[in-house]
Amino acid sequence: MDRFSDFFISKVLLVILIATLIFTASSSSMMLFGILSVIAFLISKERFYVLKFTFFAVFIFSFFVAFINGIFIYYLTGHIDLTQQIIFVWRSFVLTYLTISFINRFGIVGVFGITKEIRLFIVLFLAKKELFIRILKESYEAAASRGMNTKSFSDTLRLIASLAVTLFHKALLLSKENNLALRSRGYYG
Amino acid sequence: MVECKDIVLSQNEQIILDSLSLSVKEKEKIVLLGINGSGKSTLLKFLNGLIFSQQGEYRFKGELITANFLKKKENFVNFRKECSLLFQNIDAMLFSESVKKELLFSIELLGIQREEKEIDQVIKMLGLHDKLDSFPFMLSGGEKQKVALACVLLVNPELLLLDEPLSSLDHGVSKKLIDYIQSLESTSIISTHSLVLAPELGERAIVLKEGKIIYDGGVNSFVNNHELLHKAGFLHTHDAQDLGIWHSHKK
Repeated sequence: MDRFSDFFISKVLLVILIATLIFTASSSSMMLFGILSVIAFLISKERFYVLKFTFFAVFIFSFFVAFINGIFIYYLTGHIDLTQQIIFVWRSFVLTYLTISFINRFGIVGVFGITKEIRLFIVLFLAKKELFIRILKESYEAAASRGMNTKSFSDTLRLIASLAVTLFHKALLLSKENNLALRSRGYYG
Repeated sequence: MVECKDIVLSQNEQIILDSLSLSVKEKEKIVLLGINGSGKSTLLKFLNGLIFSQQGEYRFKGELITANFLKKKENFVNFRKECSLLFQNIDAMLFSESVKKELLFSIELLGIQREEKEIDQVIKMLGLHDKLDSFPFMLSGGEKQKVALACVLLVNPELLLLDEPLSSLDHGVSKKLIDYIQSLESTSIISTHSLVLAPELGERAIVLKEGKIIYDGGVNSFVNNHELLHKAGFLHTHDAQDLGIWHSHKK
C-alpha cells in the first residue's frame, strides 16, 4: 500500500508540474511569471540556494541568448521589441525555477517516480565517477612523483592513454565485484 | 554448521581452491590465514554462495548450497540472512546515496527487524554518528571500511565472514571491533595476514597456501611454530652477508 501510494503521489506531482510548465510556456503574462516565481520560492526547501542557483544557471544564460537574439532581430527588422526579449528571459527563468524548486521539495524520486533499479544505477554511476576521478588524480600525482613532466603535452598524453586501459580494466573488475556484493547483501533482482 | 568436502574451484583455468575440506561448528571463531593469493578471499566468497565449485559439495546447516538452490527467492533470502560477507574491496560494497541508507540496504531488502538501539550501538562503536548523511564514496578508506562493516554487522547473521576487516582501521576502532565480534553469538570466519592480530580474532586457525589447507588447529600453536610459519610463507630467511649469518624474522 505504501509503495502504491508513493507511486500515485509521484504521478500526481509529475502531472501538476508538467501542466504548470505547459501553461507557463504558453503564457506571456508578467504577472503570472511573478506569481509563479513567488510560488517556486515558497516551495523550495533551500530557498535562497535554489534561487541563486537558478539565477546563475539560467537567467544569465537566457539573458545572453536574448541579447544575441536581439542583435539578429535588429539586423532583420531594424528595431528591437524589448518587451518580447524580457518575456523570453523571464519565462525561461520561471520554467527552470519551478522545476528545480519542485525537485528540491519532493526529490527526483518524488517528482519523477524513479524506480529502485534506476536509483541504484544513478548511485553506482556517481560512485564510479567519484572513484575514477580519485584514481585519475592519484595516478597523475604518482606519475609526477615518478618523474613525469606534468607540463609536457606528450608525457601527459602518454599517461592518459595508459590510464584509459587501466581504468577500463578496473571498471570491469569493479563491476564484477559490485555484482557479487549486491547479491551478497541480499539483492535478488 | 559448515561442511565442505573435496572442493575444487578454478577460475581462468587456474585452480584457486584445491581439494579443500573443512567443517565449522556453531559459534566457532575461526581465523583464516595465508599470504597474498593463497585463496582466502575466494574461499570466503565461496562460503557466501557467490561463486561455486566445479567439484565437491558445500553444506550450510545441512543444506546443499548450489547455484540452483540459491535461484529460489525464499532460499536466497534465508541464506543471505544467515550468512553475510564483508568484501576486501570495500568500494564494491557500497550502493546508496547516504551512509544512513547504506546501513539499511540489506536490512530492508531481506526484511530484517532491528531495534533502533541495536543500530545505534553499531553506529556508535564504529564512530559513524556524524557521517550518516554523507555520500559513502566521498569518505576516506577507513571510514568506508567502517560503513561496510556496520552494514554486515547489522544483518547479525549466524555465519559472519569478514575479509581483512581491520586492514584500514586505526588501533582504537580495531580493538572495539574485536571485542564486539568476540561478544557476538555468531560463528565467524575472519581472514587476515596479520599474525599479531590473529590470536585476538579467534581460537582456531585455518591456514591456506596455494588453495590448500596446510594447517587447521589452535591459533597460538600456529603463530608460535617457526616451522609452520615458514611453510605457510609468513617467515623468510636470507643471507645477511655483512654478518655472515642466516636469520629469519616475522613478516
